[in-house]
Amino acid sequence: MKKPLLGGLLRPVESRLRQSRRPPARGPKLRPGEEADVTLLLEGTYPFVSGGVSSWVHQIIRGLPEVRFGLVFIGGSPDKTEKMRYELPPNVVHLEEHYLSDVPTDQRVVSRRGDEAFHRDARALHDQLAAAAVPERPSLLPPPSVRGASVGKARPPRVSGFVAAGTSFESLAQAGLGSPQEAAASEVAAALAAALTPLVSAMSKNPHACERDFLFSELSWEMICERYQASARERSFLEYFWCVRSMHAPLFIMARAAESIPRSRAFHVISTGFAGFLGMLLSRARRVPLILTEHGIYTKERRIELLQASWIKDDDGVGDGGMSGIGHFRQMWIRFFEGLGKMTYAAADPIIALYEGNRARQIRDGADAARTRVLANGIDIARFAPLRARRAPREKGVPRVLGLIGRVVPIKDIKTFVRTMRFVASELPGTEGWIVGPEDEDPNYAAECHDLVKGLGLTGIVKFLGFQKVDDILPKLGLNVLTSISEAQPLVVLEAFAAGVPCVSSDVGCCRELIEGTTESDRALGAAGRVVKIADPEATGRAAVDLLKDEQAWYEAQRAGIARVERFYTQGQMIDHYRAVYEGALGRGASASQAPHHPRSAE
Amino acid sequence: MAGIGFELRQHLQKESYTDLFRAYLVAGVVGSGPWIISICSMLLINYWGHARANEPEAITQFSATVTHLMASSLVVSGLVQLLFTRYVADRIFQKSAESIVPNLFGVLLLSTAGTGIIGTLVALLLFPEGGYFAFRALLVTGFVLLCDIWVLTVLFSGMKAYRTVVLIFLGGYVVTVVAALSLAGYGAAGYLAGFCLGHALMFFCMLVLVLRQYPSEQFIAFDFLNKRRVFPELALTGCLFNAAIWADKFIFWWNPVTSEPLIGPIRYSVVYDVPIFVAYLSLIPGMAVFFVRIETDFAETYELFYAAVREGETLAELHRLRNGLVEAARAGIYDIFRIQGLAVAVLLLTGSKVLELFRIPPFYLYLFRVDIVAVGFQVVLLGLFTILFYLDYRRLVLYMCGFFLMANVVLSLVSLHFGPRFYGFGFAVAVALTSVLTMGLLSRKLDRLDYETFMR
Repeated sequence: MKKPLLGGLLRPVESRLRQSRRPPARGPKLRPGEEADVTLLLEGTYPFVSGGVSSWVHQIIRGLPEVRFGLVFIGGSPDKTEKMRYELPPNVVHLEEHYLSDVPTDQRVVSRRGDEAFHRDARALHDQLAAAAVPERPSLLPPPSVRGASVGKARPPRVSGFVAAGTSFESLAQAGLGSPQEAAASEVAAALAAALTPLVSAMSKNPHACERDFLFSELSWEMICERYQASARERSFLEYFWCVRSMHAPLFIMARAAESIPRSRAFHVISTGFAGFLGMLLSRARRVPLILTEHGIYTKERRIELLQASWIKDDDGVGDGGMSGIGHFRQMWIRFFEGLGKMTYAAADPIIALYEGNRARQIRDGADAARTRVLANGIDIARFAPLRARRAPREKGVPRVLGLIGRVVPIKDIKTFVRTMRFVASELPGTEGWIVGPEDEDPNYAAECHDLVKGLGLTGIVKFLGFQKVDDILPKLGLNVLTSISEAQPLVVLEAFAAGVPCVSSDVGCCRELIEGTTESDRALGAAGRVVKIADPEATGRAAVDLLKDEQAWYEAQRAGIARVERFYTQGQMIDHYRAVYEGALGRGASASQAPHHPRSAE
Repeated sequence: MAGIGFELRQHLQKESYTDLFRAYLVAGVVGSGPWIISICSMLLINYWGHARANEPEAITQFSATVTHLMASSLVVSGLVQLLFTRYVADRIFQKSAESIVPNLFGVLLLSTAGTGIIGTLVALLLFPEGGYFAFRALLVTGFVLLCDIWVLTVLFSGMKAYRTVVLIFLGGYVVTVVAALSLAGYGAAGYLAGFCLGHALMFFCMLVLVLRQYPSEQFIAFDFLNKRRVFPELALTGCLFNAAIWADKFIFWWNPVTSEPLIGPIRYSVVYDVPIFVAYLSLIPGMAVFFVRIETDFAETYELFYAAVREGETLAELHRLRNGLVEAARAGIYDIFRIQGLAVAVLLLTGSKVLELFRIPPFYLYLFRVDIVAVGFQVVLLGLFTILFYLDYRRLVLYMCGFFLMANVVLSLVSLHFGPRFYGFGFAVAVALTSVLTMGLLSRKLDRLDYETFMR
C-alpha cells in the first residue's frame, strides 16, 4: 500500500497545531545551552495548584537562593491551570508545562510491523516487574484460609494485569519464608535497572518512533493480545485494551517531554508516578543524579482513588480465585503505579521520606534501603511563635474552639469532624467547631457536609469559614483537629504547635510521631495532644473534651508541642539538610560528568 | 423507510426455494433497476425511432447526446455522491435526521448552480457552428436535471428506499419514451425535450416524496461542506470512480479514428458504443447477488462483530466473530464471481443470439464478448468497494479508483494503438486488474481485521 507521501511534511504542522492548544508559555525560560542546577519535576503541584506539597516546594526554593532551580510541571489537562498560585522566586530560571492529556503526534496511521528490539526489551521489563511484584502478593491477598481453592494446590495464584504470570511457585514460597527482604529488594532493584537501560536509551533517542510503535504497530498488538490471554482472557477485551493504552500513552508523552527539558546538573522529583518515570528517564539518559522526596506515597494515594473511582468498569466475579474484593482492572492500574514507583526507586539516590513509617513503606515497595533516608519537614518558627502572644490571656481559660484547617474534601473526612462536634457540643455546650478551608475543590462533598451540619442541628455551632490566613485563626483555637483518613506529615499540625495549639488527630501518616514523639528523647518531651482512631467521632470528641476540660493537661500539651517543633521540625534544619543533599548530588554529578566517556555536550 | 436488507433477510429466512428466488429477484430489481430501466428505455427509443422516423440521424444524435449527458453528469455529481451518502448515513446513525433535508437543498443548490454554469459554458463555447439553440438549451437543462437526480437517488439509497427509486425511474422513463417519440417531429431537439420532460418529472416527484417524508424547519444548510463532518476524500473517490468507468468511452469518442462528430462536441463511436451498453444489461444477476450477500449476510456479521467490540466481549469471542465477518465477505465476493461468471458464460455462448435480439450487426460480437467479461469484473469491483467502505478503508478505495482510472486510460490508449482487434481490452484488463488488486488488498486487511480495528 502506498505510504502517504505528505506524512513527513505534515508532522511539523500537526505539532504546531497541538502546541497552539496549550496555554501560552509562562514563566522564565533558559536559553539553549544554559543549564539549571536542580530541576524539580512536579506532578500536579507547584506552581499551579496550591496545597501542602506546593508550599513545601516554595519553602525549599526560597530557602536555597544560591541554587538555580528549573521547574517542570506535569498536569492532567491545561484547563485546570489557568493561573500560578505562587510568585516564583528569582532563583527559578526555567518553567515548562506538560500535560498528560496531550494527543500523540501522529494522527495519520500507517500500519507497521514495529521495532523487534524495542518490543523485546519492553517484554523483558514487564517480566522483571512481574518478578519484582511477587513478594508483595501476601499483603494484598486475604489469608489462605479465606481464599479459594487455587492456593491449596501447587499452583501460583493468578497474577493480574498485563504483568504476565511468568513466576514460579517456588519464588513465591521463598519470598514468604523470610528471605532477607532488604537484600532481595536491592537485587531486584538492580535487575530492574538493568532491564530499564535499553528502553531508556530507545525512548531517549527517538520517543516519537517508540510512541508510534506502541500505538500502531503489529508487535504491540501481539504483545497486548498475549498478555490478555495470559491474565485476563475472561474479561472485556475492549476494557483491557483501553486500560493498557491509557496507562502507557502518558509515558510516551513523558519521553517526548524529556527531549525538550533543558540541561540540569541534577533532577529532584517530588513523587513517583509519571513525574518519577520522567525523572528516571532523564536521570539515566543524561547520567545525572535523581533525588526523590516523597510526601504522601503516590501509589497509596492512587490506590485509594482507584478503589473509589467510578470510571473503571470492573467485571468482578468472573472466575478469579485470588483477587477478592478488588476488581481486575483496578488491580491493573494499581500494579501499574506500583511499577512506576519501582522504576523511580531504581533510579533515585537518595530516596527521601518524611518519616520512618513512610521509609519502611518505600522499602517494602521496592526501594533499596541503603539509599533511603528520613528528612522531616520544617516550618518557620519565627513566623508562628509570635502568634502565641496573640492568644487570650490565661485567666480567660482555654478557648472552647475546635478548628479543622484543611480543604473540604473527602480525604480530610470533614464529616467525622462534624459528628465529633455533635458529641462535643452535647458534652461541652458553647464549644464551637470551625472548618477553615476552601470548598471549591469538591462542591458536591461540601454540599453534603453543609447538609450534615444542618441535619445534626449544629448550625451556628459548626462554622465554615472558607479560606483564611492561619495567622488569624490559630490564636483563637483551643484545639487543632485532624480527622483525615490519609496524611503524610501535615504541616498544619506543626504550625499549630508552634503557635501554641495542641492537636487531636486521627492515626494517619506520622501524626502519632508528631503528637507523641519518635525517639526516646523526643517522647520524653511529652504528648502534644491526643491520637485517636480514624473515623471515630466519639473517640475524637472524648479526647477533645478531656483536653478542653483539663487545663493542666492542655498546658502540658501546649508546652510539649512547642518544645517538639522547635527542636526537631524547624525550617532551618530542613533547608540545611536539603542543602547537603543537593551538594552531595551535584558533587556526584560533577564527578560523573568529568569521567572521560561522557562529554557533557553530547546530550 | 424499512431497509431492503431487512426485507431480503426475511425472505431468506423462510428457506424455501420460491422465497429464495423471490429474494434474489427483489435484489436484482432493486440493485440494477434504475440503470436497466434507463438503458432499456434508450434502446426502445432507438428501436421505435428508427422504425417510424423520417430522420434516422436524429436518433443517433439523441442517443449519443444522452450517453454523453449520463457520463458527464455521473462524473461531475460523483463529487458529491459518496460524500453525501456518507453524510446521510452518519446523520441517520446519530439520530439527527432533521438535518438531512436542509443539507439536501444545500447540495442541490450547489449542484444546480455549478452544473448550470459548466453546462452553459459548454453550450456556448463548444458548439462552434452556432445555431441549435433549442438543442443546447435542452442539453444544459438535461445535464442539470441529471446531476440533481443523481443526488436525490443517492439520498434515497442512503435511506434504503430502493423500491421507491425503481418505481420513480420506471414512471419517469415511461414518460420519457412517450414524450420523446411524440416529439420526434422536431428532430434531436424534440427527443431531448421528451427526455428532459420525463426527467423533470422524476426530479420533482423525488423532491415531493422527500419533503413529505421529512418535513423540516430549516430550509437550507451547508453542513455537508464542514470538513469535520464529512470526509473530503470521498468527493475525489466518487469523481474518480465514475471517471474511471467512463474513461475508455471518452477516449474512443475523442479519437478521430474511431469516432464521428454529431453535434458540437458530441461524438459517437460506432464501433465501440453499441456493444458496451447492451453488455451492461448483463450485470443484473451479479447485482442481485451483491445485494443479497453484502447487504444481508455481510452487513449482519459486520454488525455483530462491531457490537461485540463495543460491548466488551473477550478476545476469543471477537476472533470468532471476526472470522464470521471475513467468511461472509469472502463468500459474498465469490458468489458474485460465480453467478456473474455464470451469466458471462451463458452470454458468451449465446452472444450472437443476443445481438440479433437487439438488432445489432454480428460483427460487434467480438467486442460484445470482451465487454461482457469487463462488466462482470465491474460488479465484483463494486462488491469489493462496498465491503471496503463498510470497513471504512476510504483511503484504500480512493487509491484503487485512481489506479483504475490510470489503468483504463493507459490501456485504452494502448489498445487504440494496436488496432480494432484490441478495442475493448483496455477497459476489460483495467477493471480486471483493479479487481484482482483490490481483492488482494482486502484479503490482507480482513486477515488483520482485529489489529486494524483496535490499533488504527
